[in-house]
Amino acid sequence: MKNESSPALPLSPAYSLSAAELQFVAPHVMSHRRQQLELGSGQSTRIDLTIARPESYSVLLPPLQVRTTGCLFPEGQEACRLQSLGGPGSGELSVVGSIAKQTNRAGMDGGIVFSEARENSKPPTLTRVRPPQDVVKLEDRLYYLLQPPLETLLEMESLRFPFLPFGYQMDGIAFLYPRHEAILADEMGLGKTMQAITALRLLFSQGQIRRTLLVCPKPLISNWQREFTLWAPELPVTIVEGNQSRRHWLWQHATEGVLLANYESLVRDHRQVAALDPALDVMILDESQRIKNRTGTTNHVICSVPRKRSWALTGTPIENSTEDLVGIFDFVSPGCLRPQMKAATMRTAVDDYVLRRTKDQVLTDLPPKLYRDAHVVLTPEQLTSYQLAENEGVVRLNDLQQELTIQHVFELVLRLKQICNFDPLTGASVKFDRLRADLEECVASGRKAIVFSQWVRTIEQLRDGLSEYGPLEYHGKIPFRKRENVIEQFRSDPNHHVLLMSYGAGSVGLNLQFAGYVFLFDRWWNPAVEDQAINRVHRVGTTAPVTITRFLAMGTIEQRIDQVLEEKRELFHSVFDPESKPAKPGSKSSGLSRDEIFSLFNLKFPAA
Amino acid sequence: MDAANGNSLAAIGFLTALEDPAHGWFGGYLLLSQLGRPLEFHCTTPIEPTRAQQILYGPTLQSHLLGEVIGRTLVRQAKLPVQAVLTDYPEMLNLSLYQQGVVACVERKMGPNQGESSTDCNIEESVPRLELGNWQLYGTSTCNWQVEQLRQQLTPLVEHIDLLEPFQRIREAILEAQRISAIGDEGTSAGSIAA
Repeated sequence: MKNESSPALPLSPAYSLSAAELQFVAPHVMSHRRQQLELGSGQSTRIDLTIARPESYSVLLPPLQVRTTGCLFPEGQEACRLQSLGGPGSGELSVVGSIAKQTNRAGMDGGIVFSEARENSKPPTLTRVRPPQDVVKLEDRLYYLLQPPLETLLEMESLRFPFLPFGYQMDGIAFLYPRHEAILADEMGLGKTMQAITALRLLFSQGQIRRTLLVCPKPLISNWQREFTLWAPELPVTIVEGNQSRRHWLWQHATEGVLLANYESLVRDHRQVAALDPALDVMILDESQRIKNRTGTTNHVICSVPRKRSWALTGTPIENSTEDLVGIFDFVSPGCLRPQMKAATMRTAVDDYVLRRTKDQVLTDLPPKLYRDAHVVLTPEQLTSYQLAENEGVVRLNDLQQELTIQHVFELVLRLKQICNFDPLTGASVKFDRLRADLEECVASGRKAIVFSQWVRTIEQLRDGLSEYGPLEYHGKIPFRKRENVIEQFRSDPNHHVLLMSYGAGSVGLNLQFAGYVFLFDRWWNPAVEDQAINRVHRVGTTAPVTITRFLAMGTIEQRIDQVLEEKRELFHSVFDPESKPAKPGSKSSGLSRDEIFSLFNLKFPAA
Repeated sequence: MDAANGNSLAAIGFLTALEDPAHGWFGGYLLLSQLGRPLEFHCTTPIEPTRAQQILYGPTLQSHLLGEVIGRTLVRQAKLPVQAVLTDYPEMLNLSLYQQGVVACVERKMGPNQGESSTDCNIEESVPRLELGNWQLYGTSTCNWQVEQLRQQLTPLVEHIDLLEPFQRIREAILEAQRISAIGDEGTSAGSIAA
């Protein structure tokens, strides 16, 4: 009696159904009274069970309807095609992988692959590649979701690593890998470079991309070249440099691998890069805050480059105002952000495009950053000079009346800040005295220190006063070709305890983990640049706590600027810190605005 | 397409299900290359047994739903042949009643200090059983597979992936398909009626 859609209904006493159940499963059974079955379909039929004694009663149930959806992925389609042509031999699909494996293995001697690491770490960590929100077709989304974990993908390509990436770095790679529009905005020191390189490496090894352009500030070209050698030795890297004809030749003929160029050369070669054909597979901007000015030439040239994927790397997507982020999005995903957007709206709009982690979130084992605010009081000599300069300056500004411009105010600010560093007449400096005392302690503990200032003149004064500590200099007056040597000397020579750096030259792209102390001799205009400077030292690889001393001359322009810097930090967190509350209405949402600069001296911008 | 024709292609099928308290059972079937890459995928919309089926099938209901209704339907949908169908639901093993090829249930092998696995004591002596790396695979008495042959078929795959990991992929994909269909339509049919 049994068939697949009509299960047997045993009527033996042990399995008998109640009348209600029988009524439920077989509606055509109208009644089941005592020893009779009464069937109610059509003409009513009554079966006497005492006579018929059926062992089972077959109930016809409608089969369950199953809706399915499915897809054949590219490799599956290829397999189908091969099969229809006569069929490949067993294992055909895996042969492709084996060839790729052999090719890639040649790239790096030694190093680690995930299978080796897995043996020592159980259970294995599995990082999933998830589709970006702008992938809307179900088939495409499933293709990403059904990929093996990132660790397996890397292992399949036999990609070896000099060091095993941290878990959060794997998350970063998995974030970049499927995205055509992305900003990796990790705090400085978390390894944005290796995450971008590894994502590229995977795309290259899978044949998804052939040509990539990485644009970075000029001093960082050699750093990127070194990092590619370390993390992706098999990738051919070409630096676009030299005279115009050489650069033009490279733009035309370097059609494979990684091209490295700096922002300035890209602007110079704007005609060539705007005409690149075929389009770049990936274009990456390092320190992408360089294009934050939406009306600037750099922004326009960068945005004009034909490309399929646009990735931006920055630890400081907002330096002064939310408009900085709009400038970066002009490159990453044009139209996604508008300057008028509120911070909360912006946060929602960028959510799927931006990955930002801080050290506090992901590097719980990283030694701490210890901030010390050195609130100093100017020496009498400095105070006299300061008061004189301020009084005269303010009087002069007031006298200018309608001719007063922001430039005039800036000049006074800079003048006063310089006096806070060193008295121009006597050379007295409370900051220097304090720095010197701190350095004694630092050197005694066998640690090295980096001192940041915004002026080369200040750096030179410090150099002369700190000669006993073997100071080295790294700033705009040091030729590029010598800078790497300065860093190496500082790293390896025990006689050099102090490195004097300008914010402009030393705040981005350098790895200075071996220094344990950072001194901000004067303060920069926005906190992001200060953070970048600090994070040259406090980053992956740091083995001891980093002490940061921020000098602040009390009762001076420095203290007033410091208040504005704090407000800028609040703004940044209102967009990127998921746990922060939206910026308060009316709170200052930008950096030193025109009115703020004027208000530093209780001035008002002259009415038109 | 059943596993009997699977000798020409080194694909392995992974079949699993996901129970949702609100909707019922979803099924998913993923075909992987020997490197662990996805070749083909099929999933079902949720299946909720009727009260009649609950009464009639009693304790065998889950096995009927997973193996006969979901498993059989999904395996039929596949265009590519497979060398073996692996599942992480023992209830799906009755798929072997309708399918000539290898059907096996996978579970992680316990370490020497972790005692017997959940099914160790339930596996009959007569059923095929294979230990491979960190995993053990077993069938039922109706499963007809050669241990050594299956070992050879699965060894290349095991070099690349954790044998239980694809089931996690399937469950995520099922949830995604369900999420998309919930957003995309209110009752508009996205798939085909297979049975």
